Amino acid sequence: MIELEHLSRRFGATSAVDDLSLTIPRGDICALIGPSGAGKSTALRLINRLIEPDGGRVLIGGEDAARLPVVALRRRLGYVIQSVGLFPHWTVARNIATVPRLLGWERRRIARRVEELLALVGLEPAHGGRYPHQLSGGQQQRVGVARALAAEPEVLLMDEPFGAVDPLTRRSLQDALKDIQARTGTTIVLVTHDIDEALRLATTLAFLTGGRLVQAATPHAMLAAPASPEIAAFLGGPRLGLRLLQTATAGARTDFSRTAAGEPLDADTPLDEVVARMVAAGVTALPVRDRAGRAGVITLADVVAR
Amino acid sequence: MRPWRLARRPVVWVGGLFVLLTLTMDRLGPLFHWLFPRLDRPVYSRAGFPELALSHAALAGGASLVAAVAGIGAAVFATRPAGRGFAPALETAASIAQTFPPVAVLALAVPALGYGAAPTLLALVLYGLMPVIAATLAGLRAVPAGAIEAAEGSGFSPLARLWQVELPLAAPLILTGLRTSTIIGIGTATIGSTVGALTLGSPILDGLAGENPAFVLQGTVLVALLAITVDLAFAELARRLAV
Amino acid sequence: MNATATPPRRGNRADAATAGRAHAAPRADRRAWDPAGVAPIVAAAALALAALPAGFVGVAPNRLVSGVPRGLWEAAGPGGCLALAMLAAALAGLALTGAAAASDTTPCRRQATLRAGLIAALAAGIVVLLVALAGAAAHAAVAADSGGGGRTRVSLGAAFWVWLSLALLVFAGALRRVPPLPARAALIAALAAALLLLAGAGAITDLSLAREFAVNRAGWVDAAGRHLLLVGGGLLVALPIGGALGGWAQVRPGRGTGAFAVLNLLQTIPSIALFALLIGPLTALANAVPALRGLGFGGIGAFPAIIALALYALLPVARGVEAALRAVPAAAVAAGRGMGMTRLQLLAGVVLPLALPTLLRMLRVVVVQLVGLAVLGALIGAGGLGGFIFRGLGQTAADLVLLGALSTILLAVAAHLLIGALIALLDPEPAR
Repeated sequence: MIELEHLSRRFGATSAVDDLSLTIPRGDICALIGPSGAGKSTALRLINRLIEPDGGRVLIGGEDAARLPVVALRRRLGYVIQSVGLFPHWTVARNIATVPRLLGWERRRIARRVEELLALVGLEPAHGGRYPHQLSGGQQQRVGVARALAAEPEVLLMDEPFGAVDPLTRRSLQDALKDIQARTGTTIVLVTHDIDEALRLATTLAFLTGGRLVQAATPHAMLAAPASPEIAAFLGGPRLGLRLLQTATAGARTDFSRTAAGEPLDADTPLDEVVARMVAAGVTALPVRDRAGRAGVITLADVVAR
Repeated sequence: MRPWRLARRPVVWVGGLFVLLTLTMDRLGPLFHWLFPRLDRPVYSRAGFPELALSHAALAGGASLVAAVAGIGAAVFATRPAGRGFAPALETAASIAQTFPPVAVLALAVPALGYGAAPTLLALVLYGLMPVIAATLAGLRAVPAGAIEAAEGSGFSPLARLWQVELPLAAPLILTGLRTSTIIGIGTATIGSTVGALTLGSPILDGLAGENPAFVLQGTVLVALLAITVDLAFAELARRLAV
Repeated sequence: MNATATPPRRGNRADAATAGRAHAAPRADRRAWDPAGVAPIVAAAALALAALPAGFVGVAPNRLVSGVPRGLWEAAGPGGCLALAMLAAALAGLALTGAAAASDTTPCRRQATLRAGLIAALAAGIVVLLVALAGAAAHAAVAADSGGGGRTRVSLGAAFWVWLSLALLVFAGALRRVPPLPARAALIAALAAALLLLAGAGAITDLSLAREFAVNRAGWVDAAGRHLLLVGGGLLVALPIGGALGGWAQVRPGRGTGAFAVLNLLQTIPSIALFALLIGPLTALANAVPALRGLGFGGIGAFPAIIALALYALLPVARGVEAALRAVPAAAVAAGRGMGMTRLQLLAGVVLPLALPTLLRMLRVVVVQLVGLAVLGALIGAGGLGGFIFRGLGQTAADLVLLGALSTILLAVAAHLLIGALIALLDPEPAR
């Protein structure tokens, strides 16, 4: 669990982060969103003390981060940045082993961990012996994630981690991250510009502007009731409703007392995809089946109902 | 640039100081006598300072001019289709020659040409060639392929492409090569007085040999001013080229 | 001899440059002989032949008289001429087949490397043979003049120097196309060993240059040591100060401009003037503080030379350190910091290893430059190899000049090669 209490940081005359209080429960994925210059990255760097706060404090699992030795603190927090920052003179395996080596793990344990992590982020064991410049951008970013997870950090801090890769690769990296998080239960704090990325990954959205927290809520709650016109505009303006569809799945709106003919949809399908299928097929109702095997029907009216 | 603005440039000041000191050095006897009271001859008199300066400038300037023309020519030739076979040899020669100490090149010219201005001129030209060749090759190769393609696409003849596209784009780098070459030339010409050339180095070396610090000071100040003037002039040229 | 017609390969400067030119002059048909590739071989052969009438060695009855040139045929005899001609023909043949192969559309990389290695070996063979022939000619001339009381001087002639330069140029050019470091090192070591073996076996003792060396042997060792001392002293002063300056300029961009302008000014001042300029102030300082004098401090001698060399080295050192630090990716440093590396771990584990190749390249430039500048130390009483040059110039003793100049050049080239080998060794991933 991470608690930010009244955090503030000024750079000269401008206030980058202003009285920011936010609690991120264990296992949560919290996306910090907002316009450029809103203080998102600064907030993230205040957590691992790459920037020291002017006021307020950060609690990591109840411990005051300011009281911990800064180096020990950072080794407990994984850190992934957009430009990856792999060490070009080290092999992939050596890069992943950075923090375990700093922590003085024994050789065999490190080797085992590196192997595990390569598999976890979806790379071949052979990639371990390559140099970063021999990998594609997406592969490099996977190594970046593996490196950050190496010492099983309590928290993973990610600063626009997938901003520099193409949309298709980004999508697969997001799926991989979601999968990894489901398996490891690591708390993740994510800074992103990409509202779709935030909606796809986050369990909590925190909207910042001018260094202040305006609203923190689940994606669905924020989309359903944006606290300000600025948030509404950021979330999609007139198309906000379409984004809202992303936050719920077919199962929740399905009428399981009826059935219909045809290939059934999975109950986990997001509603925007349900609409897309209806449009493609020119129908207003589709059959659904959930994991337990129950069959039902979802209609356009169910989808748009609130 | 209007004259009054030009007058504010440092190159004019330093250059003016150089000319002024060259012309008046032999009248500064009392000053040097006051500085070095124990010396009988406080001002260098084997040759007049204007003569030394002219000879120095002619040697360094002439050699740099030859080196510039020949060096740019060689590098341009080596980047044309007909001459590209020479490029590796030229590059190898340039990189080896740059490890050769200038004084050693100067000294090696003496057994070949005897004493005087001739070996100095040869050494200056040979040594000055290399920075020009290296810089011109680098400059021509740094010309964006897109610019060359565009020139070809718009129907430039090879000569027009060279003259209007490649050389102007390579000019800043070529200019740094010329600057290095000329500054080294001025420095090496100073040492040319050890092989019998008449230069501003003559008072320095005679002063060192005859333990006359006044001579050393006179030669040193003038040659330093000359080098700085030329360096500033090149900086000025580079500035205008960049605009 | 020529690899300019290979297809474009990324990451290779020469090839990339060729690619740029290739579309400027598209070859319509594939010819067996690429005229542009053959031209330099023909030019080199023409230059070699043009030097044939010039003297291979010069023979003089004593040191004071200038020598009478003797051509190759006269000096080396039919056997020597034949051996040299055969080596030269083999070299030309190999170079020509190389030029032909290069215009082929499917050049084999390994074969090209092998050919370059062979060309280098042949060129090295020619160098050794030239030296051996000159040595033999000198031996014969001295033996024939038994009545001269051993005062006969045999100097190296213009033809010798032209051919030697050509052979060394071919050697160096071919070496550049032999990528494996051990192979390159072996070729250079073999050439050096063969020349040393020739000298050790007494094959060149009658050449005037070798005699000059024999006479000055003890002095030469002293002077070379002194030369290295001057260079080392200059580095010792310049590296920490220049390094700190470069580091400062990197951390505070913009602030360094003023300091760099001053250093640039220092570089502009002719070296001998800078050496001489220091004499006055340093003498005054030594007179004012006599205690310094006991430490060897003064206006004349090694001290001002070391200071002058250090002043010259400051700018390239500072620029090099700044560039090396700038070459370290900022993201790698940020990531290291974010992962909890201490300052020391960051410096030793990330910054230094990534900056090292650039730092070594800077060191190579600086060392080569200082070896050359230290020659001037002799003019202000600091000693070094420059002593031979200036003494030789003063006494009109060409061989003494040659001894000093060649020694300095060899020292500079050796430093260049050694640091270059270190750079190649430390860079495990040249493709980066």
